[in-house]
Amino acid sequence: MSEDWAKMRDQWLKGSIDKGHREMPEKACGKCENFRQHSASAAGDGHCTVIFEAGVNKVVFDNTDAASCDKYKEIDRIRTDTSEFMWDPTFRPQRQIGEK
Amino acid sequence: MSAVEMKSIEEIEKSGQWWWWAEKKRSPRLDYLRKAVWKKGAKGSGYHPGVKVDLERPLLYTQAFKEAEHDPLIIRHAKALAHVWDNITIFIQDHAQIMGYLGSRPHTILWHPEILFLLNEDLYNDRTVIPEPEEESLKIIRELCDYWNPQTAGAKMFALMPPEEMVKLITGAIGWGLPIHRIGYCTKQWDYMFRLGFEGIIAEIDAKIADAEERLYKRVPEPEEYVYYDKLDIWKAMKITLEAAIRWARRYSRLAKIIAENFETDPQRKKELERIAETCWKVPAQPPEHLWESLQFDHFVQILTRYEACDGAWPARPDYWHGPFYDKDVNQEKNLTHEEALDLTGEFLIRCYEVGWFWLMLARDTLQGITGTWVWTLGGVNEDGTDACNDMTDCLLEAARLVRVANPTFAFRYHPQVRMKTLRNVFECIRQGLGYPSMRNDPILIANAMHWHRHPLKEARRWVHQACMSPCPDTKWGAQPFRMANATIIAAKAMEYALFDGFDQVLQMQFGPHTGDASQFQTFEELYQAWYTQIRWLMDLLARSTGAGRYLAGKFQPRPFLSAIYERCVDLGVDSAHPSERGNSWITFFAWMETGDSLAAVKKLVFDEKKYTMAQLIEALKANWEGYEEMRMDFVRAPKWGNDDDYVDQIHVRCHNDVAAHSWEIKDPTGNPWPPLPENIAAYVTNATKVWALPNGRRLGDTLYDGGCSPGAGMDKKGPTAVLRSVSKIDHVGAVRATLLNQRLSPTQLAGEKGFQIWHSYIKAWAELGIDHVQFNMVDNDTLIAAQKEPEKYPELIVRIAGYSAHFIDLNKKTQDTIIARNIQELGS
Repeated sequence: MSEDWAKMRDQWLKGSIDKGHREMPEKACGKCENFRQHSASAAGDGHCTVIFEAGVNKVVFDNTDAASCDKYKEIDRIRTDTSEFMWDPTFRPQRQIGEK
Repeated sequence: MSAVEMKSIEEIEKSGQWWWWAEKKRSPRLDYLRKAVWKKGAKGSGYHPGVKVDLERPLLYTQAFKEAEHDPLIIRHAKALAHVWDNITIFIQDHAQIMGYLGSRPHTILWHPEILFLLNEDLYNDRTVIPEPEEESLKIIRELCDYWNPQTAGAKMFALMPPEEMVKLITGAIGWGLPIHRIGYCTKQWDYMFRLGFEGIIAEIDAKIADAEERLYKRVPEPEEYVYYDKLDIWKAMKITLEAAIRWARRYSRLAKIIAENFETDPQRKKELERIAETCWKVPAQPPEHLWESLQFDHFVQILTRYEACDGAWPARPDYWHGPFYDKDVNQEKNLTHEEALDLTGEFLIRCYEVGWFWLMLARDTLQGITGTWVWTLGGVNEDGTDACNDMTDCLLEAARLVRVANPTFAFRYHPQVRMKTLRNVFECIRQGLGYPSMRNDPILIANAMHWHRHPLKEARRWVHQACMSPCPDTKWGAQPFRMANATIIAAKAMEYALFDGFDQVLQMQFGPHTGDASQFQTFEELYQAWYTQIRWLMDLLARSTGAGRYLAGKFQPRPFLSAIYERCVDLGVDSAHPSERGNSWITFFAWMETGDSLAAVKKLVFDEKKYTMAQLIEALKANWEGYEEMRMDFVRAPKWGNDDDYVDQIHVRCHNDVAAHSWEIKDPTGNPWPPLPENIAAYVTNATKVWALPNGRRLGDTLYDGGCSPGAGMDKKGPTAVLRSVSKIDHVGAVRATLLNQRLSPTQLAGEKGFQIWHSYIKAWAELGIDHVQFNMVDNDTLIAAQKEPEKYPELIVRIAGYSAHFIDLNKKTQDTIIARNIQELGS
């Protein structure tokens, strides 16, 4: 299992260090209810709660393209002002998600 | 003229709209400076319009750091810092008397690209704080990111951590903060700096360097003397920064002189500028002799340390250190009036308020409204045990009411001999709705500092708040150079993990150790032991990573300037990270009091009354109580903390004592234990989405309890005395490092002299019960609701969150609602 955690760490480190400018695809992991953002970083990195790789959750980013994902389920957005901290998602403005 | 401007002071006092009162009462200078200041704290989680990141500091720092690539690491950082101070744009604001800004413009916030790659990428993707022209700025930021990201302190730290622990930490599900020392809380040693000035410290360093060179170059060193090669680098780096700091201060001196001699036409302002020129030439190079010099010295040091790194707290005891200068100038030599001292002091607070930097999202929302937990310590006792309150204490309290800033806030060390004049001043701040000072029980906390960290009595009496709550002596061997927020656990997760065999219901990952299928537990003791295993695992994980961060800090990114202002570091020739001080570690417990209430509810309804089974409970919790509302209400109605009910209170006491016992089993790099410190800042709101449903009746997303030992909102049904009695059952010396109690009081009940007497009786009872902390909100709901509707009319309305204060209009709505939802206590009921 420790090798799987190492893989997860390395994926995250690489993705976070070289992130660059985020572009948000139409169907993006950040808009999916199965996405959990890593709130200690706030750089849009997180993991998927339903897709696993070698026993641990798959590392994805808020702007990971989810066009071909069959588990994608868009969140039900709630009307709110953008300063509000809401579930779900937790960091709505950071994810560049427009309000309904 | 507006309706408010036409109102008399008396009418405004009667209405309780103290922010208008402050505007009318403060001097024209303070009014100008207060209105001119830029808010650097986040509103909710985003920066205010117009606030921009400063690019001069990162560019200058990087340029010099690259040029010094062949130097030892600590010298490279010293040269980089010196290059910033020699070249960054400086300015003098109209009417200002205290110099020193963090950044090259009044509206800028600092960015330290060498700390954390996540922060850098966060900035690169933020379009609100990028200075114009945006495209050019983004290009600069990208280049800085690419250079620094792989060598940030964060990247070095994460690469070394066990992968499993790093991943769990970075999710933010179990803790807060990161084990990086350049985001720390630094208690400073003022007796050293004020005694010697920087030139005196440089003289000490020169003597050390001469001694080292004698040992290494003039004879064959003894084997143990080769370490002086390392020490030489450190002393040389310290000296580079101290000399550069003096030059930076003297740039202000020259600028003030140039303006006075060439541009200023107002003779009064010209005189002020001449004094500014003299002051900035003198301090911090030499020891201060007057109040304007000591305040300027203090502020320069605070700004200088923040150019080096993010000091997320502002440990200070300004009345203790500036009081003698106030006394000399105002009372004895009479070369300053009280009103002039008040102007200086008010500006001293404003200068602190304007300090800000680009901060990670997780810190912006958890500390919404402010830029750091800048809690200044007032009152208390002297080293000999006598009352330390002085006229500067009163001056600071008076100034706070006039400028109404949300940072810094004050905490008052209360003891039985405190002078009445000052206590009335403290009450006046609370009554005027500042939310501060918070009240700290001095004898209890002195005993606490001696108990946990072995500080001798005289040094324990010198304690200041290291952050929001924890006492730390500001002495040579007591001052802790930094404390990392990373030693913070979301304690309620241990309850969640005990119920789900270590599985995180929110993240859908196995986090904690396997402690068994809770639906099969036959006794309360099985559940309790599962919880105890989980909480110890959490404490160990955070203590381990924070300890590593402390140990490795000096190797990754030493701090030459911070090291230079500690007598300990200069004496020993070590970086500030070297764990040679007496120690002052603690683990902050966010979301702590849900545990006892949850355990009590399970004990009563499952194991005592057998109304439900554990299997039923786990099913209901898995469903986040959806479809189980009747059952949930039974758990909500179960005995709750804050009602002087031993059934639940003794479970809380047992939890406290057991985590305290485990604190002694784990040690930090200084050899000290990791005592718990329950509190919440605004994390009781932001963590609401990270903690799954619990047996106290909460659902995922419901806000958590707001304090460290505060009852749940609306759960304290038997009045303030019952709350105090419950809280007093905790051992505030031996079971916690400190713990935070929020209370709301009625402004109507506490009006006038009678109000003071009622409050004073409450405080005496609180102190006699041995409780270490209490803080008050005294703004009624009508005002708060009106401020939600028309925020522009309530710009300086302040509320206490939990460990800090903020302007109400800078909070997000959910946090505002939690303040409104707190019970208003009628004292004497």
